[in-house]
Amino acid sequence: MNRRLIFIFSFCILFSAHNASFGMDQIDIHGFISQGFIKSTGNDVLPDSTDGSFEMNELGINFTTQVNPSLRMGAQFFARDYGDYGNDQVNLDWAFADYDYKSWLGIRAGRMKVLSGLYNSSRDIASTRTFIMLPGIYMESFREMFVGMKGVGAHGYLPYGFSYLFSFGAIDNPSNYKDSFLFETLLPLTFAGSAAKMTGLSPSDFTNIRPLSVSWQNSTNIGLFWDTPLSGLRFSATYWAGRAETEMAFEMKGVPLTENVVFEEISARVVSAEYSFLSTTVAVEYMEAPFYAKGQPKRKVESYYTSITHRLNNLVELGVYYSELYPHYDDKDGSEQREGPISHLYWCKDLCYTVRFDISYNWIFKLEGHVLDGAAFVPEVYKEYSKTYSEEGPRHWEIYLAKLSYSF
Amino acid sequence: MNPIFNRKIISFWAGILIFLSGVPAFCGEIHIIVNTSVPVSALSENEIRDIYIGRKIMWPGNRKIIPVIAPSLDLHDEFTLKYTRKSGSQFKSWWLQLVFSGEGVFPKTAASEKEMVEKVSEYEGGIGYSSVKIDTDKVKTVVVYDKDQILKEFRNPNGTENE
Repeated sequence: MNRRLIFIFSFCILFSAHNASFGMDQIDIHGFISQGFIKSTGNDVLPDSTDGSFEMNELGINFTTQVNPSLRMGAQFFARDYGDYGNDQVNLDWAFADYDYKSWLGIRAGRMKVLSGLYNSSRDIASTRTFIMLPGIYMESFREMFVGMKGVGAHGYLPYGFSYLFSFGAIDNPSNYKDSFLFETLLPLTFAGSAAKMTGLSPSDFTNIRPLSVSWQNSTNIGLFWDTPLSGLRFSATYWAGRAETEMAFEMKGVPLTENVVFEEISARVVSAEYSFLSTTVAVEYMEAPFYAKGQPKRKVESYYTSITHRLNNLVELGVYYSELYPHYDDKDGSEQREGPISHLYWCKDLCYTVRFDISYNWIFKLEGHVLDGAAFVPEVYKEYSKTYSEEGPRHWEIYLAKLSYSF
Repeated sequence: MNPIFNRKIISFWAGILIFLSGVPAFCGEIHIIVNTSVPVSALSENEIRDIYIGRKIMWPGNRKIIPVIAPSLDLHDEFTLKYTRKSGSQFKSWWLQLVFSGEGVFPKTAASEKEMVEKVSEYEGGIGYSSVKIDTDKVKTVVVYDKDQILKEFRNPNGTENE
């Protein structure tokens, strides 16, 4: 199955024009492929990224057809490699039917992208933005939760520049949850911290923690957008919420046990503003993501950033952003040391600078640097930490990236 | 002489600045053309913006709008900057965001102004742009108003044209 899809993708790359039609003018075919290189100092972002890594690539292809003036259908296949995750497995990214009854009301059904902030729904496609790595509110560690949902939705354009989207269904990620950073590392680490607090034992007394099953229910996604009368200025507010149950297996001082963990609420609220003028775009976004498991205190992740990009000419675009991310809203400096992690895992402050080169209409090359303080939600740092529960890696570090992308 | 004031060096940096300044190469008039089936004869600048960023998707009478672009022409950058406040590259990125998230269908593309006219005439609901006033029965040129209110008065002096 995967080989066949990859063959189709390769075929399309070879024979595509700007938007290919293959003689079937009713079917639009678009695709993208990108290959990145990452090198970091001090901390690993991907396995051995301090030595440099090419395990950072994406590819996707979509097919869309306008069945009649009101009905559109489409599907996108997607594969990626991000360190230990993805491993180039081809999955269905989205596939839905969209019926436009009027401009102000359309309905859709199928597997859809989750809207969260300005860029979540296109987070995997490097050629749609200036930066390679997105700011903290688009936490790579939580990608599996935000990538897609299966259900029904309504959307439309309202007077005075307003538009909306409402979707209801269940989070549905075709990739294996149990292999994601969220469930492989972050959840066990949090589980060990909570269990240690409840029992008075040390987090290291809880070993071999792994999720046996993950079940998502009742996911809601709402987006409200306003294109203001001032041309180029737009605001948006998005909300996503879900509920999940996991069965965790673990050993407490060598005794094997299982425990059901019910996340009554996992949500993300994002407000965004973007202003484009004279080839310059300024964006500001703020996110808070509350979540709590049954019997546990409520927690909240907070993140915000501001970015500015400027197009110098048809070839060169510059960008810079400053982002802050706090896994514990009420313990931003880690002084309470509540659940074990060392202090500089309690924040991540990121100054990013990028140069984007539009080599041609289809090819884009980017160079990017990050100056970081803290390592909150950096997968490899957490992985190392969860093995030893002792400090790993420096607080101040850098990331350097390069990425070549093709889209058609 | 201080090498920083060397004439060759000044010329080099002046050239770099001109290269980076991104002055649009096309500075003429832009005419908006639509398929003859399209039931409007005037549009506001805001409506053209909404059409070309994918926000306005239907003509009056529920006919699908099919925007056409010619990204290889200088006229395209001038058009996107004037009507969408986006450079040609930002415009493309915007549409790729929509296309790869399933939110929209990329505008039809033309390689030349001649092909633009052909595609607009071919697609019912088609809309495009041209650097010259098109005098043909294949497409019609619409009047563009910079204010929505003036357009409303133009369309409905006696309620003659549908919104």
